[in-house]
Amino acid sequence: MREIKYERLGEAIYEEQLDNGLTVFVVPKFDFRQTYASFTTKYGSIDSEFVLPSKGERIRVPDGIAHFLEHKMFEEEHGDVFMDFAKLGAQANAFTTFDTTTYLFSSTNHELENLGILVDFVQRPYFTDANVEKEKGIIGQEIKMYEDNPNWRVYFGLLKALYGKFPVAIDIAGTVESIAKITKEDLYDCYNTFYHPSNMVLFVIGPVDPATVMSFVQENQAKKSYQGQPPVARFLPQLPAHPDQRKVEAHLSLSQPRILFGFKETLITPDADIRHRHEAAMEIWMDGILGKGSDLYYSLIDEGLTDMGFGSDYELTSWYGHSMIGGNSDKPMELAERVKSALFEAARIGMPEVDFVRTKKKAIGRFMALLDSPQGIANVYTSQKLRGIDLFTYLSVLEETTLDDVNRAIKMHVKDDQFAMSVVWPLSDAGAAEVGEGIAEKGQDGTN
Amino acid sequence: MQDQWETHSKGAVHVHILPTSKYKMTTVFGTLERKLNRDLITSVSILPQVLQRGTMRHPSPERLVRGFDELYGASMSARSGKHGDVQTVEFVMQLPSEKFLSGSSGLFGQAIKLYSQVMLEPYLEDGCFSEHAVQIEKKLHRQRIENIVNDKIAYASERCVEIMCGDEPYGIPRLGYAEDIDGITPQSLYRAYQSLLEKSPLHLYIVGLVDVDSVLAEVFSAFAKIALREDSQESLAYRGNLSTPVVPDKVKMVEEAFDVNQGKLNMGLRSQISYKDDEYPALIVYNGILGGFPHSKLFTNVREKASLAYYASSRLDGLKGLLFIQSGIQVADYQKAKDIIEKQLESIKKREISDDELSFTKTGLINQYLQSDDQPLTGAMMQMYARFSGRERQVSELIEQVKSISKEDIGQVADRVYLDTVYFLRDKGL
Repeated sequence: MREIKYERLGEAIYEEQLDNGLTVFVVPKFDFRQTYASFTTKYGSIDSEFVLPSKGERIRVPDGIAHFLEHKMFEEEHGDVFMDFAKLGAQANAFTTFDTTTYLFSSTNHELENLGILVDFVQRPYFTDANVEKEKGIIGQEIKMYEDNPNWRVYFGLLKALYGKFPVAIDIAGTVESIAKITKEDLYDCYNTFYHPSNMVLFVIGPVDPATVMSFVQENQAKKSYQGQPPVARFLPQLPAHPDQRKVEAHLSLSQPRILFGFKETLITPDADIRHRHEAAMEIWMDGILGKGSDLYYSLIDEGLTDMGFGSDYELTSWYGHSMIGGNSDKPMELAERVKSALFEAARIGMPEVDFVRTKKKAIGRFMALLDSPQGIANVYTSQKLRGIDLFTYLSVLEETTLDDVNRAIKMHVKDDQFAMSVVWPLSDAGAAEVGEGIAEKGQDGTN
Repeated sequence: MQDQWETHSKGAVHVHILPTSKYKMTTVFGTLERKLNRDLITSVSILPQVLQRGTMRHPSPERLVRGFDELYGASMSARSGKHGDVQTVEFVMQLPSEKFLSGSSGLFGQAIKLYSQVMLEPYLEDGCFSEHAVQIEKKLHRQRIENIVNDKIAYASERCVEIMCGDEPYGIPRLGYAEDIDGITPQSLYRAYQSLLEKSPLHLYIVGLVDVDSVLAEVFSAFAKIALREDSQESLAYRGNLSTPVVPDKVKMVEEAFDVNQGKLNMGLRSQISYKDDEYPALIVYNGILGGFPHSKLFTNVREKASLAYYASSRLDGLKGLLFIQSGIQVADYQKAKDIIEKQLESIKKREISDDELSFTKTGLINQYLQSDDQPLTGAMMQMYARFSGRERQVSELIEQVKSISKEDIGQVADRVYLDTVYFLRDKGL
């Protein structure tokens, strides 16, 4: 068991890789009541083409299958795993991203027993034709819920514009049509490929003793016979050099248009250290130029171009990256133009030093805030670790970031040929129509 | 729970401090409170937005933000809240503890000073809010109200409350009314502000690694204006905190059509029991059995067994004793889903509660209570509820009470739960 201490933060992390390849992290937080544990496989919505380790055969699976599999893992031969957690008072959940699937629980009691349930259910698939069919109705409603959600629609619209057919633009849950094709055999293929311990990370944080957790997991894993498995061969198409479309539009029942725009990142590198530094520089300038304390933010609001929900975000991995900027706007095109020209200006003249100093301090404060959330630490640490980055070093990375780094990052990122936008417009007759207002007599239609 | 809250009052300022080394951030939460009032709701809900547009020392919104940014990104935001029949104006600030940052001593003192200025020394022109600021915030507020419809889940839940409690104070929407906005002037808003500051006590909650004595000195000095006047506010706790009518004579059924892919079925119920009542713990367990968890009747029957929905749950507004059920379904499944939900309500009434349902719900609730100890502001919420309901409760006491609830206790709650409103947001059809 390896111990890494971060003296200034008052945090420590314990790490061990087990014989079967599973990596386990433990962060003790003795002041906290809850234990939060997550079990993550490096497998998400983009992994639709890969080699089956058992047969050496290359296959393609339907869109949305990683998320479908996540739902189906909770069903066991003896019933619903939610009930096993409920019995011990734990709250369980799961989520799927582009490149990960995570199962988790939080509890204030019986942490080792809950940990056992978590690890065991994820390592014990049980799919039947009937339970696969049943799930299609539930996920179908999940997809429809997202279809009505303007934030989700404008977000995926921008991904579509930036990436076209590149898998990041595929909806994580798939479509009603794509999930209709999923069979239990497909689920087993995906499961057997990606849920090998060597492709997974277990993270435990809370008032726990690291050595006890490690030996518990070790013992649990020793009882299961896993054969060694080489890293999964996945096939991702080439990342397109430029956005697929300048603009993607949709119409929805809305009171005001909503826009997101951004730039595709050109700094795509396997070097995690370079990426970590670039992320820090990006965070600082995006906040300095677009954040609430910038000259731009309140001008946009006062000119009637947007509201206080206007914001920006940045994501960078070894194989794709992009910024996203926007919010509600009566004049979305004008908003995009205004912001774009401010960004080109910043790329030309650089960021004022006073803004740099201010937003760097702010980024440090924001990082500290993350450390008060066990769930936040677990989620961000795991996703960064799988991308080769140690979250706890972010404080030093931020402190080492210079104004030059920041100005270089702006120049590198803000390029007109990497720009795209997504707009969701209100439907012309989006208002509510009164369908019927009836009153049922008591006793007929009520519960009483 | 070894950390203990301590309260110190001076005039109308009540400071509640929880000194703890648990968090790296210090959290400050302040509230000004008044009874919900139809005529003032809209003004009071614009107020926090206008106050964030600058102080005399930082006379524009971006300068104010920069002032906080300089303090290691202290974040400050103000909003209006609605808790039962009380309207609040809430100010939340978070900043890193000085212990973790070299060269940051005096950080808290500077931050609380700036925080107090937002509340007490807003930017004024000729003794009144600026015309410019008020005009912009009026427009933004109108849009904020109109945009509620963009999130259909939130909209359906608001509509359900509005239809159910239309004539009661609780039926007043948190953000107020779009039609009131035109009538608001800088002068009328300033009067609303002054009256709030003169009549409402200030409750200030501070959680983090702080030195109580120096914090108290800094707070009372920063808020001297309020600390120097008497706290003359009458109790906010309503005698009958309950909704009226207690027993609806008819079930209100409303359908509205939008261009949507999914229908939202929301139901509102009245329980006759609220936070101040002895039966309240039984009501909490009732809600847990019905729809508070993945093992609850709604999730199990609407989602897992019938595959009709992705979400199906219930929530409890404890101060009002109201229950709200929500689910997203196919429009064509409306009757089926409604029947299943009503069957669940009936089954609890018939005491059809399994041992597992009861014990899972209790264990789940206890876990939630214990876990809430990891949120800095849980204690603040408990104290707010005590003020608004007239009954003080402790988490530890609630846990014991929940443990003792029997199936019969829950059945007796069910006997007093009445369906009041069914709201269905659907598509426009062909």
